[in-house]
Amino acid sequence: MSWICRIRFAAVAVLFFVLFVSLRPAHAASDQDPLSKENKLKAAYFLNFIEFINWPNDSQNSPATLLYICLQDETPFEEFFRALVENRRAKGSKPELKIQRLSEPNHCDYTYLHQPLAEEDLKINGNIVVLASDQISQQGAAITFFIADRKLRFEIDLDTMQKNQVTVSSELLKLARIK
Amino acid sequence: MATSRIAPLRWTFTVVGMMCSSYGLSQSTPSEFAEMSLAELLEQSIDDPYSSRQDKSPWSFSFQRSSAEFEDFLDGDNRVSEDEVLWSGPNSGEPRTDKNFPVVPGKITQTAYILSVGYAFDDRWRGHITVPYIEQNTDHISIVPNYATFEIDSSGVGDAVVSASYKLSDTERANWWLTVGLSITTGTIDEEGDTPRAPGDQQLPYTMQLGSGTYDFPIQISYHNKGEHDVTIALAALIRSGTNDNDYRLGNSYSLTGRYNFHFSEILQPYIGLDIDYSDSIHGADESLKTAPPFPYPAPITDPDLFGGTKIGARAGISWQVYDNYRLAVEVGKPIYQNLNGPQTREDWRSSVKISRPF
Repeated sequence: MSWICRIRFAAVAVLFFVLFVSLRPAHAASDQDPLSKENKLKAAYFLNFIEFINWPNDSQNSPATLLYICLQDETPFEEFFRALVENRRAKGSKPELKIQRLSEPNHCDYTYLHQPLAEEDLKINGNIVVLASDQISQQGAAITFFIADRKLRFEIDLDTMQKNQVTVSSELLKLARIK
Repeated sequence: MATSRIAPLRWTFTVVGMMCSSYGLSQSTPSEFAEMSLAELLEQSIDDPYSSRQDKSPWSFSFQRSSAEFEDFLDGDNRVSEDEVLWSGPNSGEPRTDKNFPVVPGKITQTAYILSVGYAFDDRWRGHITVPYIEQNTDHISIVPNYATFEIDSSGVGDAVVSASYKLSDTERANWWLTVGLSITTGTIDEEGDTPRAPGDQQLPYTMQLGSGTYDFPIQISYHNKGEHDVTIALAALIRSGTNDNDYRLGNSYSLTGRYNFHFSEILQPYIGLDIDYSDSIHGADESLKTAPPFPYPAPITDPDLFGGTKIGARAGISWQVYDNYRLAVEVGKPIYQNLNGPQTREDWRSSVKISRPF
């Protein structure tokens, strides 16, 4: 076959490539919000769940109980979640929340994981672990987010909840998929 | 005939990614999310309105280089030597049968450069146009004087495929897609070259043609498990219609493919796959390829009955997100079982490199 045919095909290929590069969004990545809506929703759910879970050391009679929340590492999720908590704090909601890294020595009451833990990092016993996705697995996860029909849903593992001696409001259970 | 060897189903149906059509509300700031109750959160789509409208183009694009090599002979699943397939001539005492030939192909090499463009009309409907450019080469040995060894080549645009895909269902665990297409006769079936049949250029055998010469209908149904195990299974068929201008129709082909993706990281995703392919032999015959009876086929690749069969192939690859939404995938595959209407040249290996910008 002639070189002319090859050149024509290559020209068409280059044309298509240029077309599709040019179809990319015009704005730069730096203009974009670093956190997707999906993760913002996860952060909002993660905060909302607190109202529906009673920890063993939590008492309705002592609303000032401090709840230790652990996050895995510094991510846009943490920044957004801290902003959510600040907003909540401004309204005077209880219990008081203390956000820390999982790597810090303090114990955790409530933990958000976006990736599985290495075995040596296992510090999740005795606290409620919320898993960012059902695409990852982590032993001991009590709540797991999943997507159905482009909406965020969550699954509650009642056995794990009971093992951790927490109680979950029936309102929350009605909205969850029960494992 | 190139399309009967480099199975077009593999590159025609590239069902990829997810698309966003529902844009939901426009909450963005922490205070807006903090105001939302659980009931309101449940109503929210995960689709980011900003990224859905601007970041995610409805266009997809891929460019793939796919190669395959065929060498040695199989009759059924039995190896047959080149000596057995090559007829030694009238003076040798070896009887001529319909299983030996005066001309025998050695190695067949095929390379396809495949350009595919897709458009997502909405969350459920997608369209694709796929155009291949094919290069192929076959070397031969023969008992014909002056043609003891010779090569034939052909190259050019193959058959273009226009297809539509419809998402049958999509749950948190899995989705199903149905794809139906039309293969258009943009590839020629009149490639010529110098063969021992006569001096000068003559019609080349089926394997060296670039198109099927008929309107064909690729159909595929695929299942993608999105759970802990990322598995895709696809059942596909390529249904040929009518008879082309050279009085033949390539055989229908059917395939069942499976692929398992490992999610070691978001950037690098290795995968393994297993394919089962079956194709019919050719119906009808190109009369210009025949010689005098009682054995009218000078080479196995001119006998329409010596095409098709069953192949089971294993493949492994890795997909790398090189930049933003652009992925580079490299794949190698090798048949682990072949049962061919033979004697027929068996597939040795195949490989592909693909750059894509999925939906």
